[in-house]
Amino acid sequence: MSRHSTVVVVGGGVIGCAVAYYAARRGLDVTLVDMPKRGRATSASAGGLWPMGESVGLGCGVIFAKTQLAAGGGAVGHATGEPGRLPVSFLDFALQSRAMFGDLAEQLREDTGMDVELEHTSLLFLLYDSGDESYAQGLWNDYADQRSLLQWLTPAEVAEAEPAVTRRLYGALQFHGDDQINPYKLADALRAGARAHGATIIPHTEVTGIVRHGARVVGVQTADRTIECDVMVNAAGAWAAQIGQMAGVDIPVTPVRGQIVCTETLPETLNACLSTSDCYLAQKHHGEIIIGSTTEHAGFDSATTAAAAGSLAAGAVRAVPQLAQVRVKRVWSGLRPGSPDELPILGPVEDVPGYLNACGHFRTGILNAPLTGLALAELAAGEPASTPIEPFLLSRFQGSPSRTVLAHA
Amino acid sequence: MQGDRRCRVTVGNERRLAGGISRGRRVGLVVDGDAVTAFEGESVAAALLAAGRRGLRATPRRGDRRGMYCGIGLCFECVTVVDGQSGVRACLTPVREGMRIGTGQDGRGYPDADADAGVDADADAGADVDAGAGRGGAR
Amino acid sequence: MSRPAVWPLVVVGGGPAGVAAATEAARAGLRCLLLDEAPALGGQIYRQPPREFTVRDPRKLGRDYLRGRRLLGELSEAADRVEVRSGTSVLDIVDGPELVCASSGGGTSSVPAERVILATGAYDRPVPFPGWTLPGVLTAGGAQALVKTMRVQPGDRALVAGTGPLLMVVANQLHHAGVHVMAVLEAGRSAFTAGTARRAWRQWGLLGDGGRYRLGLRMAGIPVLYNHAVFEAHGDGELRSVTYGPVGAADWQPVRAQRHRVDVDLLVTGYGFVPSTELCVLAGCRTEYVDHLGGWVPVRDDTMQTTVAGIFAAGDGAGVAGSVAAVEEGRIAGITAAEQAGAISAAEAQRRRRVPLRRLRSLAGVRAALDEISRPRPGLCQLATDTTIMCRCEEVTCGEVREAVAEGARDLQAVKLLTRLGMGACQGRNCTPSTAALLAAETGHPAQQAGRINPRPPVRPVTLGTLAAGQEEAR
Repeated sequence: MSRHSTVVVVGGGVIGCAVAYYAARRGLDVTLVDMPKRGRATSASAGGLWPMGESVGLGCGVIFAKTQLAAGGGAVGHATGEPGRLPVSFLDFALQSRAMFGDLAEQLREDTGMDVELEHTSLLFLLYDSGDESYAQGLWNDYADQRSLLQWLTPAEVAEAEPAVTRRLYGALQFHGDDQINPYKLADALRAGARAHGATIIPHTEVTGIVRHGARVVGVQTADRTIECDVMVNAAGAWAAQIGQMAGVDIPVTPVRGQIVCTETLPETLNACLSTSDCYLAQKHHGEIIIGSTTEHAGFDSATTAAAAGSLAAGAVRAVPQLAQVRVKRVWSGLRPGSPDELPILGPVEDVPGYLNACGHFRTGILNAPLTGLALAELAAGEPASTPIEPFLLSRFQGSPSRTVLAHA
Repeated sequence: MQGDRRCRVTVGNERRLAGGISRGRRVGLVVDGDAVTAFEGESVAAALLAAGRRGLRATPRRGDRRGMYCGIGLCFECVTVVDGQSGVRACLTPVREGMRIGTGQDGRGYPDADADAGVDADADAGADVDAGAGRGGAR
Repeated sequence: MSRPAVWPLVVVGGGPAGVAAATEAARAGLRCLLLDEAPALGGQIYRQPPREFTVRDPRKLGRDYLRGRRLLGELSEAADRVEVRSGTSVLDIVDGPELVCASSGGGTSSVPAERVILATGAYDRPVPFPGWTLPGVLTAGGAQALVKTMRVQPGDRALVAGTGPLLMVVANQLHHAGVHVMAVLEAGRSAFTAGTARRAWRQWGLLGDGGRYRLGLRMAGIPVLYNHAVFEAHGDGELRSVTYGPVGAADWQPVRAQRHRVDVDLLVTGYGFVPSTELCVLAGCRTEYVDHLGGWVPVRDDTMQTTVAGIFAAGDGAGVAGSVAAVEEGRIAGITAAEQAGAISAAEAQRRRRVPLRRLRSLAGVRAALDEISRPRPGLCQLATDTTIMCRCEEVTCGEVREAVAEGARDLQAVKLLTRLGMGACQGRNCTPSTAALLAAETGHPAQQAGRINPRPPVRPVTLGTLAAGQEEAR
């Protein structure tokens, strides 16, 4: 059986759904083929929208740095003990994507009736010691252009803003505009919105091959059909390398496991999202508090470990003491699509026409979904992307043997 | 009504059976603010049932009342707030003198904000509170 | 008594299988640790009244109480070789094997073992119908716990509904507790036919029990309605009345046109049992789907060993076959564990296993007959309507599950990803058997193709404080 679609998106996580949505919205004939796999990052995500936080190495970055320090090593190409900072190209992309959420949430509500639970929480980096304090000072100094988004809080001000947070603090650095969303609902709404705009969704179906004429990609194969296409988009998350290989493209994406502890439903306990050197905490719309995370290279193994759960729990109790009494509802893990420089891999590949990348989003798939979706829809329509994607092209990995590689935990 | 009426006994309420056993000491509980009598050895669920209270919690999404279902600690329907701690399985937990129980009526099914549950509300940065140790224990 | 650094044997579960296993291992000279979640040993069927109650007349507590006391008595004779830790939940089992436990003092501890017998029992099969989540609707196990152990009357007017011999037992117990049992609704047909009698003659004891209960109900004037089931429970915040009616003999589809309504404040449901296999799965044991054993069960040989070296599984937790079979399986596992540890010779182990093996064989015939009668039929899936709750923890309705199927979900994992079914505190116990049955009905594929929702540690909820307190070296 064969059919034709202008665009075929491979992968139905948040990125694939976003691409399908924006492409369908601009009138392209889109088919999304999705095979949800255990460990899919979208389903495991805490849903933080932290452009500043992720760019400066907060959230998972600062936790990872602390564990690396303890283990005697350093994080990505930076001074020992300091979390890696991502380049300005990433910060710009992330801020731009974050700015799209207000309109997107409204549009999705119109298109699908679904509420993606976008919340303006801000992100508080809690300063436990002088190390944290000097790191925060470094951010303040280096991000002069974004200073309007940053705010220092004294311990008394933290106590007033967040009564549940521990008093044992040097203070906090607040990141305004770093908010949160419900990642499941976002992905569901994007998928439903894509469908509402005419996209075809083929769920629970594995892509078994990619058809090429010479080097050009002309179709995507599944067990029972071939879908001919003008362009395919690789949005296969942690599995992007496998899909890339079918198209003759070498994608350096590897799974990076992150574990999460989720509490039972609680009444309003936290106002902001919290980031500490032990963990981050986000209280979701439903009332559960999500505590994350780890950075592990465990292949495609999405098991959870007692050690990680214990360590995250300890971090949570340190930050919010009353959580000691609260029940853990679930522990889970997700496989982030990791790229060698922690930046996404977007756009065309030289010498492989008909193929576009939308992968390697590592820690920031949810945050960067809207702009990724928009940019890829533009590229799929044969237009230039309205945001610079040169920093994210796959070609940056070719012919550069000195590229930094993620330190292995 | 059929059945062995002789086996029932009035102990402030008629649901406790007399035949076959004798109970231990009475204990006093506070359930949703009301004083309730129970007996040592009884589970919280049994004590509340004997007092005519079957609803043990309200569900988070729809606010439906739920009570004991499986009775063996596997279904988590009977979770109530006991002495400020949420998620306590009423069917497995024995009553204790002075126990405070919340069944989620009027939104009170959550840990008390002012319970002595480890909130160092008045502690300052120099206070000797080991915040990372969990409930009452040392690492 | 000094503790071994690594226990030669750890038994998980203090019901009939676990107690029998520990007893036999101890008799063979093997030291073992018995971990049980409940405050006292006995599991469900042999649940003992609390320590604080004084037993005056054991006969009032039923036959099972006395049988339980006998079994526990055997264990106490071997007390010097068995350490019992009650109130201890096993959260995880990892390579070693090593058991991660939550102790009542808070914190978690690691128990390394040379070999482990998993005797984790079974739980009531959930069958959703409108109103089944109302307070006042209890499982048979829950009703028994209240009546037998707590000596509390769960209601005034009751209906007992479901399938299987347990219904009669529970109805009798409720009656003797002063509850007005309006009727027993058995979805299947009568067990007392010539066919059953022929297959069960060697187990006259079991049939005798059944006959006694049936007679008891007759004498109390409690009608038993075969091929009947409960359709709906009604009430505002708690149970007030029930709608019930006939079901088709072959597939048990509800015949709603002939429904009746009755005022009751207690509805006890019993539709058989499902084995608790989370620890087997976490240990890496291969499992298979066996309908008449309750669903997914570990693959075992006839000495109760699973596919993982050093891990045994016995009792209802490895396949629902009742307490009498559970005891014999436990014995076999304990004997074999002792043999593997070198405490007794192979010949001696062979000798000791002979009687339990023979008993198991003779039980098999009557079990097969009874199981066939009580096998849940597909018609039960039609009881749930779109607004009926399927996942009690996350409040996911049957309608939402059907929508997920329409979206392409074909197995439990997919339904879970789309609806959050199975993501709650009970870890899918209350929803996966019925959702698997629903998937089977909707897709036309057998229930085992729905797969499983993978258990994740901790398999019992713990507080953040407990997790944070980390590992103690308590062994």
